[in-house]
Amino acid sequence: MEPANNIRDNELGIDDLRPRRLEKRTLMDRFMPRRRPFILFDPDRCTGCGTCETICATRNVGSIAPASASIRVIRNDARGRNLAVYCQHCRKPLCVEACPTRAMTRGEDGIVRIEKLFCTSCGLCTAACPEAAPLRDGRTSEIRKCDLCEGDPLCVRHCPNSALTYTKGKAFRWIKGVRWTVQLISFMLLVLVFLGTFCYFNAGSFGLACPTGALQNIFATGRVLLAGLTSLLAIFLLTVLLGRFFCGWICPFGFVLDLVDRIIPKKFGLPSFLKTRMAKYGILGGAAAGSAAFGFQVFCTVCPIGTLCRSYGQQAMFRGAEMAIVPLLAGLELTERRSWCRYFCPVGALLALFASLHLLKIVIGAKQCKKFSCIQCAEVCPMGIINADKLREGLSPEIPMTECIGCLRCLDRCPYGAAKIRFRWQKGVPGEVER
Amino acid sequence: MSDLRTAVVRLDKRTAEVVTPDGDLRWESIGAALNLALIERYGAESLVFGGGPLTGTLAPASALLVGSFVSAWPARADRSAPATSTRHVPLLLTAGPDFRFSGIDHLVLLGAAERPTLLHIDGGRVRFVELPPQAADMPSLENLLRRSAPPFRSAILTSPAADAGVHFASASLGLKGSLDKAGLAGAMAAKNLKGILLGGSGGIAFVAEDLKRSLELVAKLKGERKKTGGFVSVVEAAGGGDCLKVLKGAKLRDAACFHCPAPCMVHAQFAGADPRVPPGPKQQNGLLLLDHMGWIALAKRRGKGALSLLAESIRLGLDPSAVASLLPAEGGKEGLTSDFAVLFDLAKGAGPSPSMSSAAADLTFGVSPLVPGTGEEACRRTALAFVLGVCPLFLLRFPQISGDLAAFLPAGVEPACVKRSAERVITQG
Repeated sequence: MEPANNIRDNELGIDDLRPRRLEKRTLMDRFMPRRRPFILFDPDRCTGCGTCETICATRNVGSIAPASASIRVIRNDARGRNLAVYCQHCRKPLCVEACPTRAMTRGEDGIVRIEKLFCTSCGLCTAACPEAAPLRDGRTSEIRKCDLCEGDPLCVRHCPNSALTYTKGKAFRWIKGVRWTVQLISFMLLVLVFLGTFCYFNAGSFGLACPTGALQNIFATGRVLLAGLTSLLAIFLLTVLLGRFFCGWICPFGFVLDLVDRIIPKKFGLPSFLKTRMAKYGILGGAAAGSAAFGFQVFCTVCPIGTLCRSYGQQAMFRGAEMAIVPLLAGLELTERRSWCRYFCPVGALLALFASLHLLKIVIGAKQCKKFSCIQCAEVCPMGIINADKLREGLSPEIPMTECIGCLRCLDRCPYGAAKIRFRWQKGVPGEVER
Repeated sequence: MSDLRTAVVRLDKRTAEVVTPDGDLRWESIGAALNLALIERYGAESLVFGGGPLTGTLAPASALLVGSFVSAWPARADRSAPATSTRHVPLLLTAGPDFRFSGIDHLVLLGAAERPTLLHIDGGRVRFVELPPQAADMPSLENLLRRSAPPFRSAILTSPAADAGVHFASASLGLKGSLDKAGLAGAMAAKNLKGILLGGSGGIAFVAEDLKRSLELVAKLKGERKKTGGFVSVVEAAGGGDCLKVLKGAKLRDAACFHCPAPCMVHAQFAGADPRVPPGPKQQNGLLLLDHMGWIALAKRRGKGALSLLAESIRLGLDPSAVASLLPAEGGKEGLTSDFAVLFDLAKGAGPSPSMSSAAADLTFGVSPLVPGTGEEACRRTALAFVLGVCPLFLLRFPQISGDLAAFLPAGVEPACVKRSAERVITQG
C-alpha cells in the first residue's frame, strides 16, 4: 500500500542527498566564542546615495546593477531615514534552517553563504529571515546574499559617508571576563573554602543566613532569629539596590548552570504553563508551608545551592548522595538556559519579590538599536526576558527587573550601545524607532 | 559606450519601438545635446528624455536625467509655458541611473495620447500601463502606483495641477518633488502622459579601473565637506543664508543623489504646522529639501511656514518658486490656512496665473538656474554636466573634479565630442 504522502521508503530525501552539517564547536569556542567582525550600519550617516548597492552589484554580477546587489537601501521618504537591508550572519541563522535544499550554510568562519548549485530560488530563506536579507535579483530572480566579500566588504570601503563600518562592534565585552572571574571566585569561596557558609555564617555574636533558609526557619520554628532577620534585611537592601545580582554573579549553582549551558545542547521544551514563571513562587510558598507543617526547613534538603556548599568537606551532610540533585537539576539545561532559575528556584523567587522595588533598571533603546534583526541582546539573555519580537518591530522591550539577574550580558554584547542601566525614575527610552 | 538604445514611443498610436541611432547622431552628440538632435529629427512636438554617457556609472554624482522639449505646443498651447524655446529639465536623485538600468538611454515621446497614459520601462522595453483611478495629489498617486503598477524603482509623475493647465506645475520624482521649473509637467500633460515608471532591474557595464578611480575621487572629496555643509553652502551661494534660521528646530539629515559623495540636500523633519490637521501630540512632517531655490523663495516670503508650504507645493505638484511669487506679500489673518487655500486654488488653475513661472523667466540656455547669479563659467559647467549626465550642482561646487570625470567616459566619446555637445546645448538653448 502506498504511503499517504506518496513517499516510498526507498526514495531518497534531502537528508540523504545533502545531510545537514552539524556545527562544529570546539570547547574553546564554547567558552570563549570568537568575536567576528560584521557590517555595522549607521542610519544617521546614510544619505541614501546607493553607492553600497552599486558597488555590491559590480562584484555580484560584474555590472552596475543595484537590483542585483546583496544589500538594499530602503529610503523612507516621509521620515528621511534610510535603512540598509543586508545579512547579519546570525549565530543561529533561520535561513539555514528554512532552506529546503540545504543551499544555505554557515561556514566555520561565521559567514552564511548560498551554494548556488543547490539554490532553487524558492525564497523560503527570505521569508524566514527577520530582516528579509536574502534578496531576490530584480533581473534574474536569483537569491543573493552578502558574503562579506570574504572578509573585505566592498560596500564598506566605498561608502562615502562611512555609514557602513566593518567592525567587531562597540560592545563592552570586558563585562563577561569580570563576571566569569567573580563567579569563579564566589564558587571557590562558597563551595571549597568557606564550606556551608552560604546556608549559615556565624562570626561571634553576629550571624547571617540564607534568606530562603531563614524564611523557612521562621515558619518551621515560629521564632524570628536575629541572624535570619539581619540576613533578610541585608539581602532586601542589596537586591533593591542592585537587583538580583546574586543570581547572576554570586550563586554557585548559577555558575554551574552557566558552565553546563556551554556544554550540553538544548534538546527539549518545557510545558507552556511554566512560562508564566509563577511556579517558583509556588515552590517558595510550598517550602514555607512544608516547613511549618514538618517543623524543619524542607526545601533546604534539596536546595541545589546548599547542596553544593554543604556536600563537600567536613561539614558535608550526606557526602555524595545529596549531590545527585545537582546533575539532576543541571539536566534542566537541556531545555532552556538557566531554566531552574527562570521557573523553579525559590531563592530567586524571594529575590524577585525584593527586586520588585528595584532602584535600577536596564533599558534597550530602540532608537539606538539600529538593526532590528540583530537581537543579540535577546540571544544572550540567560533569563529570556528580552522580547525579540518587540525589537524586530522597532520598539523598546520592557525588561522585567524581577526576572533580570543583572548579569549585564545585554550591555556587554550590544554592538550599538543601546542597552543601558538607568535609575527606575529616569525617563524611558524612545518607544519607537524611526524607520 | 553603450549602444545608445533609443525608445521611440508614439503615444497616439500606443506603439513603442527601440532603435539605435545611426552614426551621425551617435557620435556627434551626447547627453542633452543628443536630446536636441533627437528633437530635430523627430520634430519640435517631441518630448525627449536622456542621460549622459556618465549617467549611472561609477563617476561621482552621475545621477542626471534630462528632459528636453520645445515649450510651445501647436495643439494645446494653453498647457505649457508660452515662450517658444528649448527647455532642459534636470531630473536627479535616482531617476537617471534607473532610466539607464531600465535598458534604454533615450526616450522620444511623440504625439499625444487619447486617454491618460502611464509608461513602464524595464528590460529595454516600454509598456503602456493601465492607469489607476484618479489621484488627488502626488502621495496618493504614488501609493496607488506602488500597489497596482508593475514594480518600479523611480517614477517621473505629473500632478492634477499640470492637467488643469497650470503653467508652473512641476513634475515630481515620486514624493520628493523635482527641479522642474521649466514646464516639464506641462509638456507631459500636453501629451496626456501621467507618468513614467522606471523598473531599473538591469545594469550597465563598467571598466574595472573605474572602481579604483571612484574610490580615489570619493577620498579626495571627503575632506572638503562637513556634515550638512553641502546644503548650507548651496543655500548661502543661492543668497539664502539668512533663511537658514527658519530651519531651527527641524531635524536635518543629509540626503544625496545616486553615488554622490557630497550631499547637498537635507531631509527636514519638523513639527507639524498643517492647520488642516487637528493638533496632536506628535504631528511630525518631513520633506526632502531638493529644490534649494524654491525653499529660499518660500522662506523669504513666509519664514517659519516655508517648510509646510514647500511640502504642500510638492504634494500638489507646483513649482515652489512660482508659488512664492504668487502668495500675498503678507500672510492672512488665519496664517497658513489662507496660504494653503491659495495653493489649493493655484493647483486647480483657479488662482492668479502669471504668464510663466518667475524662475522660468531666468532660463539660461533652457535650464532654470540651480543657483542664481551664474556667470559664463558656471553656465559652461552646467552645460557640461547636462551633456555628461552628472549633477550640475556637484560640478558647480567642485569644479576641480571635472578633469577627473573624463577618465570615466566610455571608449568612443572623445573630449572634442563633449566640448561640441556642450557648445550645442548652450547655443541652441
